[in-house]
Amino acid sequence: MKLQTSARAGWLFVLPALLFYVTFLVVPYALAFGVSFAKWRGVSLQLEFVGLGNFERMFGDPFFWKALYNTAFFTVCTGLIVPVMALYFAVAVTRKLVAGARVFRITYFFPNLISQVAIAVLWWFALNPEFGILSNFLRLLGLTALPSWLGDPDWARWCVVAVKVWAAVGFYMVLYISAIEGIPDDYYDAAKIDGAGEMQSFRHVTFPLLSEMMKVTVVFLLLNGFGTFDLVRIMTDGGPDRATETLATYIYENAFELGKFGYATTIAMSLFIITFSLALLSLYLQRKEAIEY
Amino acid sequence: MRSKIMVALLAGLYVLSFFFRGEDEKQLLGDRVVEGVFFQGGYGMQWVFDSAAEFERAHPDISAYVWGNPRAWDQTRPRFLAGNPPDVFWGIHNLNFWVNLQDGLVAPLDSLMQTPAYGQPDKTFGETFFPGVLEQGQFDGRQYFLPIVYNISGIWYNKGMFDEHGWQVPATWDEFLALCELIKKTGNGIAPLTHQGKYPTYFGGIYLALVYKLGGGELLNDMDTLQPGAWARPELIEAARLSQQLYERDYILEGTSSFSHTEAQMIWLQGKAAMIPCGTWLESEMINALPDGFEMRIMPVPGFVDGKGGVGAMEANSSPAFWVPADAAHPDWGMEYLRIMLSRKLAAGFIENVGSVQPILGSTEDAEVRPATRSALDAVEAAGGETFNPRFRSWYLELDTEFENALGALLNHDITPERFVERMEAMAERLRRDPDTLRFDSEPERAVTAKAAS
Repeated sequence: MKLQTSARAGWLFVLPALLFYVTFLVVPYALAFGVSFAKWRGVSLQLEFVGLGNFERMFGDPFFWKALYNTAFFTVCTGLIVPVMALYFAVAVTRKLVAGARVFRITYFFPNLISQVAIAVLWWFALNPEFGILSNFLRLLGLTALPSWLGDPDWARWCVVAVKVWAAVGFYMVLYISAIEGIPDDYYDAAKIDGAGEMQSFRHVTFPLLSEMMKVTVVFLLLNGFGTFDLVRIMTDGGPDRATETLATYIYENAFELGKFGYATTIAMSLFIITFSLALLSLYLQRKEAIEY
Repeated sequence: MRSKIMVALLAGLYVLSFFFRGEDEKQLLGDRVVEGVFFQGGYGMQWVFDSAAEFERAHPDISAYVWGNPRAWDQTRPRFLAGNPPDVFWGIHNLNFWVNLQDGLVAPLDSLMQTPAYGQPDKTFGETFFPGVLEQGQFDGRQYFLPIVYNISGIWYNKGMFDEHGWQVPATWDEFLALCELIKKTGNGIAPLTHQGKYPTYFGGIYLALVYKLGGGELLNDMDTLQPGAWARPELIEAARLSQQLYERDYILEGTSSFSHTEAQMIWLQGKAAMIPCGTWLESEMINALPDGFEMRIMPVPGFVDGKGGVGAMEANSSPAFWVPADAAHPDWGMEYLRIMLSRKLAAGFIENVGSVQPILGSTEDAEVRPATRSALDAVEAAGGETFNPRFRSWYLELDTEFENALGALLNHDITPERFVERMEAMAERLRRDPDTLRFDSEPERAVTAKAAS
């Protein structure tokens, strides 16, 4: 009897969150699943069931493949660069390899206090080849014939990667710092007694104890990368010549500019399948019990 | 027990929230209201309020409720879905508004076109438009959309600068190239040309003018109607080659490829480049930045003596804008609103307020047209009224997007002229095969379509 009441009370506690979850996540996803099999222009309630027609179109659509490729490119690049840089900074700051470590902690974390939109606008200005701070700085160094950063397909892709890394690295650095600070000093002392230098301590103490955390963060980064939208939408709008088009910006174009909501939803489903698999992977990776000190 | 009631209450609220709709401002005006929603952009809103006032003067028994903002389309979309749209509407120009027609949301305006014009009872409403401008808003012979402005595109220059250096406005492409060479050599660092490089669509004005001047109206029409092979014709390759040549000969200001429209236009106003392509909206867009003594004038994109299109022909178009939602509470009032809004009287007010010209006959005589726009109207007249209009740009948004992307790549020398037309033809083919794309069929546009200035 007592148990029943507490179960009921439990339900009451989760109910608000559950309602939001159902209204804004489960219901739209379920509807989207249906829409991905339909032709829907999004301006009226006319829906025409087209079976796998949208999927067929998607597999034959070169722009979809380009967007998928770009999205994967951004994701893999950030997934590789961010953890390495974040780890480097985290070790440098915690092991006090640099002076003013405290200041660096704040500086690197700073981008996480700004919204993605503000970051995009900021860099959009900074990367302006005429008035932007980057070009002007390089000119000061005597460089001429600078590329028009976001106007050139190759440069634009790397600029997007660079900004994504800049925006993300601080957050992961903080994660790693907290993990490193959780490692008891005894381990390092023991390593020192055994004659390990800074590099060897890192290889044999820090890195193995961080690898769990690293795995999880890489999956986070991958999930994050596949959703790339706001930065690209503002900095390049997928251009030039679709060189920075991501799945999300291509979905937006189809749904909100071309009036192809059904098709856009189909692409969104493919994105959903990718991110869902990554989420499962992250659950799998976290399944192992954490090391306790 | 109590928790059961709570659960029931919460569940009830949850379900109710799907049906609850707040009361809006419009309802406070009573039953006899015509509602107009308009995209708020560079034209501001005063012309909208003027038209509402005029409507209420003409129909004292009906209130005109008008509003607008830059997100008007997004904000109205749910109402279209709910079958409760406004009576007259202008969303935004660079969305694929044809989907509204495909879903049957747009009321045909044929009866409106036959009604006597507002303030000019001897003419029908349809007869008051510049010749040729209505077709862009038609499908299958019926009128669905009406234009907001009449835009003339070409290449702009500062007459003062040209006079000072003794530069002559070129008529043919050869003369244009010679002028560019002269400017490069004697212009004291002034670059011959810049353009809104970040948005290659502006340079598209030059490119498509070259295509028209080489291949004539029939070719343009074949491109507009997606005839197989039309987008791969030699004239298109030649125009692409000539476009690239401007870069190869160093006639384009350095850094141009990254300029946004405002940057490029500012740089041109500062006199760092002698010429820039654009439409007549340039004047009102830059009016606050105009340096003293700057005489903004237009020239046609130069042509070819042996070309199929006239050397002096101007690109002129009136993109479709206004429409009456078929599900509106009062579609007839919406049409009446358009009849008044696009009258000669209010079009003259539009010129004074906004500075742009609407394609309404006589309005350019009733109001003082600003000098740059006047020079464009004069250029059309000087060409004997010969205008051309690449309608694919408002008919097939995807083709226009690919055009812009491929043109950017062409100007960047990422692709060759041959590859450029290959890509365009591939996109045309994609649209031909797409059952979801609305296909437009049209007769070749008459060579002489508009005597705009008259």
